[in-house]
Amino acid sequence: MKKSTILVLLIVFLGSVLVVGIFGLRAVPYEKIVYVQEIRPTSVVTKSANAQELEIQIDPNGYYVLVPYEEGLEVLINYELTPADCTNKDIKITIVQPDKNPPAIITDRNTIVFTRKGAIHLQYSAQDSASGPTMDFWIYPYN
Amino acid sequence: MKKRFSVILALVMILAVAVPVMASCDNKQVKEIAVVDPVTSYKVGDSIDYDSLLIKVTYEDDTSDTKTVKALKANVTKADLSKEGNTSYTVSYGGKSVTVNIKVDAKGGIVDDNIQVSAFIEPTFYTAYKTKSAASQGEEARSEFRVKGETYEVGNVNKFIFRPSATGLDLDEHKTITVTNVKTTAKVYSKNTKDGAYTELTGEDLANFVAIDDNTYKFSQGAAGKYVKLEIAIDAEEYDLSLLEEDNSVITVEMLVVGGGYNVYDQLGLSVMCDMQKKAWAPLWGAEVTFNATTQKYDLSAGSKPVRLEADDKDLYEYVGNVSWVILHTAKMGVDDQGKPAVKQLELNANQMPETFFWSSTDTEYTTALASIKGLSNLESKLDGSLKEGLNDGQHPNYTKDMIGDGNIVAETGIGANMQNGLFASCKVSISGNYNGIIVPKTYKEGERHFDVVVDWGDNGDSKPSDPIPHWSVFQIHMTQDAAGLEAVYDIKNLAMTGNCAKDNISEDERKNGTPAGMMMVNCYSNHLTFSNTLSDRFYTNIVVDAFGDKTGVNIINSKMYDAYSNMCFMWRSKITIENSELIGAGGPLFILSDGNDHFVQDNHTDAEGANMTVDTKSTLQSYATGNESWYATFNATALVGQFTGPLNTLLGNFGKTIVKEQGGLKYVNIIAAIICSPGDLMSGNSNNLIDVCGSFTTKNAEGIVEEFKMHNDTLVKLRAAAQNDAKMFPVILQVGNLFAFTDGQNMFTLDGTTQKPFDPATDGVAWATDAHDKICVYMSAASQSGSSKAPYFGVVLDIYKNS
Repeated sequence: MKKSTILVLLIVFLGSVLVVGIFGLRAVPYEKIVYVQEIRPTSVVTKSANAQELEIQIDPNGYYVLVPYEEGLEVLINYELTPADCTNKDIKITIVQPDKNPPAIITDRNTIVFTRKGAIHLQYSAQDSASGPTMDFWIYPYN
Repeated sequence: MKKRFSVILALVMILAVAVPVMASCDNKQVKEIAVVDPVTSYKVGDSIDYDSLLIKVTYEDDTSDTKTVKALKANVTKADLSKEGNTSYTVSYGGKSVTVNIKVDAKGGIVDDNIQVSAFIEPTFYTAYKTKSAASQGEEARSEFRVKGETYEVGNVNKFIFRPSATGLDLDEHKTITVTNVKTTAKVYSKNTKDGAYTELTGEDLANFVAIDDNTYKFSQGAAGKYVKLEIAIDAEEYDLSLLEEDNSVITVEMLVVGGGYNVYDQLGLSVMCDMQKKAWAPLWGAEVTFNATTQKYDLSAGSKPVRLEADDKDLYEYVGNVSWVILHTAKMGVDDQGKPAVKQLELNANQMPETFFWSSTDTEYTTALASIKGLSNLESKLDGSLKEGLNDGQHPNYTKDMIGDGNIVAETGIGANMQNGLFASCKVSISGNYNGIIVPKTYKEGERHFDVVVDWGDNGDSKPSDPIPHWSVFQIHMTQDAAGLEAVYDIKNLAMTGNCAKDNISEDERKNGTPAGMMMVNCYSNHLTFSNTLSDRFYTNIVVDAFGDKTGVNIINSKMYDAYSNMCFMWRSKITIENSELIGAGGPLFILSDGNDHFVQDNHTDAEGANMTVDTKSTLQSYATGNESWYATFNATALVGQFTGPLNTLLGNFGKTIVKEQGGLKYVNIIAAIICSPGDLMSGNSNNLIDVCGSFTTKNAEGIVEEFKMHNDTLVKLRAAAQNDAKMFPVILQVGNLFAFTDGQNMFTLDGTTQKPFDPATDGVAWATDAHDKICVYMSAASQSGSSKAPYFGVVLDIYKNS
């Protein structure tokens, strides 16, 4: 290594550590994490020949829809995140069921396909934080 | 003839009397009849076994007899139980009858034929546990616990409340009806080991194991350490379950009963662990506090209105100091800010905390505190209601002392009071989270209490009034010494925590108004605290590992920590080991290993006496910085980082190595650890007592040590000794693996055994270029080593990469 390089290194090193004020301290904006605050359903529709939009209702257990049951019933749930510019938009969808086979499966992020008639409880969880918000959503098929 | 007639007449007369007499013994005149203990309430669809009804028959001679309808061959006019309403049945016997009026109710309170029970729902905390402990469906997210499927835990000190609900579907109204506190029946099974087979408990065995009452379960001492399964069924007698799948009419709960465990459902229940803060918390417990001069401890007694929680059999204060674990069942279905239902983890409520924790405008020192932040509008407006530390003049009123005892001694541990504080401070209690979360809210309303620090304890050169340094943690774990001098072992496990102090990007202009500091997560004075399977984000510092008396020790296993404003761990001497964990995104160096003070060169201290950290190679450590982040700006370390990204990186380029990653036109270095003295002494020194930093940072894998950076490694000791005698020498020393390189300001050197030699690019350069280690330690001092002013050496550990 050239002596001049070493000298420059050491001079700058000394100067900057001891005389910090000359260089100034300017905080440069960096990618601060914007955390998800809320998950809300926006619309729920059935995916069938007679596709219909279902009314989203609320009870103490969370959001829910009532849907007439038919074989092969598919329900599409759309949701939004608040704030819209959250850094990590990943949402995990879990079927909550007491240790038994649930009456439906999730085929993609939004679509629930029923294999038999029965109430299903879904939980949507933000993935950006340990204690991130969740959304509980129930689908009640009926005859 | 006459005589025969007389005999026959007599016989007839006798028979005429006798027969009726005999006849009346079997068919006495019935005076009245009554049904014995008749049931007067039934549900629609029930049936009555009329043949088995007991009828008390009272005869005219006042004798009585009780027999079944069947035995009496009595007649019954039956009641109609097919519909709701009032009805009756009538029993007739011996010319008498009795009518019993009964009321027929609909099944389970679901009164309409068009309402169906559609779901039997477990409590929210158990759902939250199951979803959080479920296996990953893809790549593990930062919100997921590292270890899945840990057994749910329940304490046996107080009741385990497990209240299911049910939803009925009203198809006419197109709405749901929720039934809370559903009537249930439970089967109980137990086993001694996790992998063993369950045995159902019945009769006396069941009664001795657990008391079940109204969806609460109080486990006995004998149940401690046992694995338990509850099969909780919705009561089929109470509700119409015709449309509920049988699979869904039973909730199965599996758990481990923890001896000495106290079940916590809310913040007040969590305060049972505050055995170190009886004086502060007593008002919230409804208890009186008196200081016992003999034991040097605070004694608790009942106040005028002692608090008793639903799960408890005695007043809350009576549990304080008498539990070994707090076990969380705290996730609840609540409402969000819009009033919509939302699962809520336990969010700490400052208004339900001791008054002494917070500044109030009525405090005698308030005016002085306010004056210390004069001109800092962001802080002045927030002082009232902020967490209370001392004033910025080094003479702080020690609020820890006020909270926990008289004098300078912490009563329960015998060690001195200190500047660190905790919302929940204990020397006895571990925490089992059951995958629940605790949140420190960031929301602020002027005039209300909040979890920021606005005026900090003291000025050690590490803080400015505009940037207070907090000394408040959510949990504070103290050391216990029993009669044998042993130390308790503490655990914090399966717990998620979110703080109120993420990394920020505040501009210099904003900084001028002052920036409140958020909370730290845990302050530890114990020699044996283990974080196991924990998740955390957004704390000022996650763990302050303090040394008070003996060396403090913390293990961090299978844990994940993110987005801290300052550091993930601040060590004051002490030991930390980290295994299979992920610590990403501190605002400053990931770890500060501070040797505290009182170590001087002439005293020949060893590195073991300083701060020592050991990390396994399975752990991920990241804290990328340009040096212009707020933390570096606050602590005047921007230029130092500039040296790494600039001249030092240029130097390393000669070896085919780099410590820089570029993104978005910016240069980042991954600053993992800084091994320093007390921060205030970093730039200073004197000729008589040269401060000597002790400490080490080590990485290990299954085969052994991978990298070991010690402040007293042989090379450094030798070089520093030489530097002391040479006014020109203040070398910067680089260590990668077992390779050292250094400069005296004019030349580059390395070591050949114990002899220094000029750096040879053809050999030394190749060794450096091909070395596979991924960490480098830079040993340096902030000032000259010559003359009468010798600043101490410190070490900075960074990632190093092959130059592509």
